[in-house]
Amino acid sequence: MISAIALLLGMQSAAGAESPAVHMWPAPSPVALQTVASLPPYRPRARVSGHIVIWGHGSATRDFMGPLIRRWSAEFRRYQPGVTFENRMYGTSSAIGGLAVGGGNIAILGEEISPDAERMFERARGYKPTKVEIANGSLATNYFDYAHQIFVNRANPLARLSLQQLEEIFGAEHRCAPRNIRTWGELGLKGAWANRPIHPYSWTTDEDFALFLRERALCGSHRWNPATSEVHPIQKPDGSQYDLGQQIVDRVARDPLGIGISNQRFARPDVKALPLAWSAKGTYVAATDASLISHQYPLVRIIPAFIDRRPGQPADPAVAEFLRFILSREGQAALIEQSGYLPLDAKEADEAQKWLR
Amino acid sequence: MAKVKLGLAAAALLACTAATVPPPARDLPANALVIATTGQLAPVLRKVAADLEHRRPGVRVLVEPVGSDVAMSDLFTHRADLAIIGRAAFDPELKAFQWIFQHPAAAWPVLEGSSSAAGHSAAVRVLVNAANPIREISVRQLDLIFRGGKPIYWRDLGVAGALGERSIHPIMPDTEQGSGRFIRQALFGDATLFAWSRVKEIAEPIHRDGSDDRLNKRLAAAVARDPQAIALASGAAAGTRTVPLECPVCDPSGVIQRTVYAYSDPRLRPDANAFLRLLVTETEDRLIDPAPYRQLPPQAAAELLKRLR
Repeated sequence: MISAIALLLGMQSAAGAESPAVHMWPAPSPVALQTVASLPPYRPRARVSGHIVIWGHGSATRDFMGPLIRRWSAEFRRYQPGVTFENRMYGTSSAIGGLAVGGGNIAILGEEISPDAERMFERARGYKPTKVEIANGSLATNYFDYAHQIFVNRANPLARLSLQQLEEIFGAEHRCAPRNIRTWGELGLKGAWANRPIHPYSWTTDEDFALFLRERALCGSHRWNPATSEVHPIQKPDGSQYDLGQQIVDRVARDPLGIGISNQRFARPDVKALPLAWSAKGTYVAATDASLISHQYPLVRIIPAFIDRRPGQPADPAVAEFLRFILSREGQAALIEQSGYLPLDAKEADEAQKWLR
Repeated sequence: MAKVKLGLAAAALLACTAATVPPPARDLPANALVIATTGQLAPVLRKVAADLEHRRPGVRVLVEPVGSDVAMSDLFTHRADLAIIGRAAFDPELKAFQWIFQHPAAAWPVLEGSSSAAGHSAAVRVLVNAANPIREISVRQLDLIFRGGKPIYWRDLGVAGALGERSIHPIMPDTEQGSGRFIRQALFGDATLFAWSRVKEIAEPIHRDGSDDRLNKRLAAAVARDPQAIALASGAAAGTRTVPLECPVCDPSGVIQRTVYAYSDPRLRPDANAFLRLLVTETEDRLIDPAPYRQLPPQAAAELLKRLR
């Protein structure tokens, strides 16, 4: 029977789809399960009805968001049978556009909103879209916004970094930090290291992954350190892509003066990921499921849903109720079982509802 | 029984893998061609629309000035048949279309921008203060000024006297917005890393239909105030206290010129095809007033008409 199903899946794969259940995300970790169990259950605040069209993260060929959307919709309809759903999860690039021109009610992004998309929405509607945070990104699962990690060469004695130091290294405008850092000595390294220049490596600085670091570490500045080496798509001789995250780690492995932004999916023995802290006096932690959920690790990705809510006006009742459901124990349980994301903890889930009250 | 279990399991797995989300249905009047465009392009497109409606009774054309970015969203959400914009579409806009429709959007170059009027998809202009004696500049010099690792002085560009001993103050539109992005694509190979310690950016105001020209006025004013300044602008923008420099990118017939593109599904509706053909073959006189765009060069126009056949 298994081989028959595998054959069937093979046929499906040939048609361009993959089974999320088979290999797209790992089983929920104990800390994720505990977090979800601590959340308050969904209690309808009002009986609502309507048709909710969801645009956002997804793909026509890899249905990594479909199972989650279907489960959220089906479970929500047990409480609110008057609400129907329409899935327009074509990908993040179209999500804010769908919302801006009135084609949808919720845009769930697979990354931070781009400045272009935000400007486009504002041009179309006359105000900014409203953000509701609905999940944490994964530790290291592809398609599910894995955390950013800072790598240095294994030979480098640097042991940790604060978010402020990241801005000083990778930025040039230092909106939050007081200065630029351009040598290893400015990070406290002594001896031969002190006067050596820092060689930063990053994703292309105006594309999705770097947009996150810009928001989180550079205080929104697009003025990156001009000495930053950006990596660009490279096709390998076998036709596959040389992953950008792998390129960054490989370059740090070859360059003792390098520092790069990547993820542990691409780690190798000759590099090390640094523990990070929100501030110099904070707690320095490595990226783990627990430190991501608690937001102790500063470079956790946070998954936003955007809605069209006119300033000073309440959100659409059905949309607000559905988002409250997503933020509940039931919604977050579905999230960790049907996707690779991590749940919000009780504090974050409560905070996320401020626009919905 | 085993066969039933196999069937149920397979059905469950297929439910998980049912991937295709169909494209949104066309949400427009069936008998109307809907064109989303910019405030600058709308007047000329309306003239062509009126001409088409006159020639083909029964055809109705709606021209919606919404701005380039919203126009592209209208296209991929199926709320417009054509998006006609004064720039090439950005990568996420093209991705959005392709991911939704499972094939790339067609891009039809239909007009060229003018260097004679501000805000009309114009070419790049380089401005200096009227007191500055320099009159020409190369792209390499611009690269050194805006992106080079070392400070550049006016003497490095051949300026003598007191000004020559002063550093250059480079100014450009916000590199993240339309005009700034066009300039960095046109001049700097789409680089995002500039000499931030000396480059000043000026933000582009957000306007509902994209027809705002305050950016160019701000750039010109900044140069007029500062004898050490040099600004990159997209449009005429020169005032009495600024001078545009001679350079390859300033030549109206030069290689770096904005192109107006129409984007659509590759399977064009007949009325959209007729509209594009008419737009490309309109006499230039009709286009100059009120919107100073220029026709495509004859060879480019011929190639486009061949594609539209």
